[in-house]
Amino acid sequence: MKATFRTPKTHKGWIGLFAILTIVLLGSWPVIPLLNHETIVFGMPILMTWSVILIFLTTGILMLLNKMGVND
Amino acid sequence: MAQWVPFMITVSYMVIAVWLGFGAGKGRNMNKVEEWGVAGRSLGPIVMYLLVGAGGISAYTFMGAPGWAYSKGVPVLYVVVYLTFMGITAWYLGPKVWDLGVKYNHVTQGAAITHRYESPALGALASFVTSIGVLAYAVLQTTGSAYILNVMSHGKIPVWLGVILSLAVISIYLFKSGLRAIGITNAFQGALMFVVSWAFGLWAVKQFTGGYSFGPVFERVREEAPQFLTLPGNLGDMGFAFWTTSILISMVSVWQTHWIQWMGANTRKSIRTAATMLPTYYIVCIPMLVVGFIGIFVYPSLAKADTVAIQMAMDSMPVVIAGLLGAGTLAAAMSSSEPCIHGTALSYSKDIIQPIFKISDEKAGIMTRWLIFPIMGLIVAPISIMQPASLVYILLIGYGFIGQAFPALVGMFFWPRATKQGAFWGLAAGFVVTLVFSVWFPHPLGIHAGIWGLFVNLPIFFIVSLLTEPVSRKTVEEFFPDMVDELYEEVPETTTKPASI
Repeated sequence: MKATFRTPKTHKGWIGLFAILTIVLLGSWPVIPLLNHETIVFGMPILMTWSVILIFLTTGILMLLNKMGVND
Repeated sequence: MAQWVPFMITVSYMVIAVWLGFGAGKGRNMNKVEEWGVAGRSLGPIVMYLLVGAGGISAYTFMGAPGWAYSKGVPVLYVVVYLTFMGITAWYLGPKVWDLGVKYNHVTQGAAITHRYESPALGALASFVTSIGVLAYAVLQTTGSAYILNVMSHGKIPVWLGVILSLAVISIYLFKSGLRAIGITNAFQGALMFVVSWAFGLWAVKQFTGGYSFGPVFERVREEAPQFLTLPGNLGDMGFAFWTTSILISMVSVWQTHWIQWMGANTRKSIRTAATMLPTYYIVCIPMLVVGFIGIFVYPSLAKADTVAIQMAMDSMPVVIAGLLGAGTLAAAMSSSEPCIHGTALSYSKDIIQPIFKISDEKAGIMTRWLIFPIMGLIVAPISIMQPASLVYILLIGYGFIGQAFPALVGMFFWPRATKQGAFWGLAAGFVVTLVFSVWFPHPLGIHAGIWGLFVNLPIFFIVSLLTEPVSRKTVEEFFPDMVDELYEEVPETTTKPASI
């Protein structure tokens, strides 16, 4: 028996995986240090504003992937 | 009289929750595991959204999170990010879990592990050890419920009585209606929490600044205590590495309760829709965090940071707002503890007791709902009342285990070559590393102990799997039907030509 991994079978699947990894990166180490200052945006610390943006961005991306029919 | 209004609002919430939960199972045969355990797989996307959303919001959101904002500042936002990203996990894995459950009649994580790895022992072990973290979480939430009842009753309801009362309320509707009760009460609790959080947060801002904008609150924080606005925060304990690894370990920790909730959906599309919208629910956290920041100036030297929101409500809010906060916090605690008690009863019955004593599905169905009473009476209630100092360690150990089950899930959905030996030894090693780096040498290099556990767990999982016998072709065909041809590709035999004469 081969030791193959299940990977996305379609271009849409790969786009979905790439989009999800991008969102995770936007909320973690590579991006958060860029926003780590005392600036206030829309009445909130920039990190709080970014967290709210991530909430809607995540939902937006997942909606888009649903519309594209990404299943794997 | 006015001083009792908050208490009456809190009690009213409990009465409504019992009424809704009790009626949820009307006309259903709750002696069937499919009904009591997973609501006959009947929950639509809206109930799923509020079920999972409210389940993710615990007493921590109403007490601990404002407390973190008050004591540390923006580091608390990692909670908002990881809750958001748990929506991605639900979106990705939820439909896959649901498909398997429908096809092979699984209701628990342990049942799926048993099936995939052809090992009832591994399924039972996973069920038991996972339950340690789940029950420790239920204990924390029950303690939170008792605390709220104690504060709202001005000390007239002692903690031990608060524990009994909150568990008694849950037991009435949980026994009667199972996951349907959790679904309907969480929908109510979820809506209540959303309204309360925003009402309380905006009221606090108005009282503190004279307007409804958060801006002046944070302008003052920036002027007087800017360290609250950047990582590593006021206490200096949340670097970028810990932020990132805390989010990652939370994302890959699939709780038994989540698994069972996904199983309750009526279609795979309902899970997808609910999970897609799930992050939007967590906007509920923001106003409560602002309350914590306001507390920095209102209570410069509060002994217990976790009490900042409730203290503010009792000291300066109108009695109705204070009562709503009490009801909202109690709702948050109960909506998180009831799935834990339900999931543990289901898992103990189906993954441990039924295989060991070889009892029928009918008997297991009847026994499952009765199990909530010993779980509440012999485990959750006594520990909640005693509050052992080791509780936090039990919780860390339990959380550690849940995260370390991730490779076993990789083997279930992405890697057919995974074996029970690989899953077991990886999990055991990851668990030990997580334990050591949680309790004795906390989070070396600022990296979460659970991630250190996975650093060890994953290589062992892969190496041991490759060195041991894979599961049968039948099981591989059931879990990876799309890969069978590729996995068992026959190597063409080399034909030997007859020697020419």
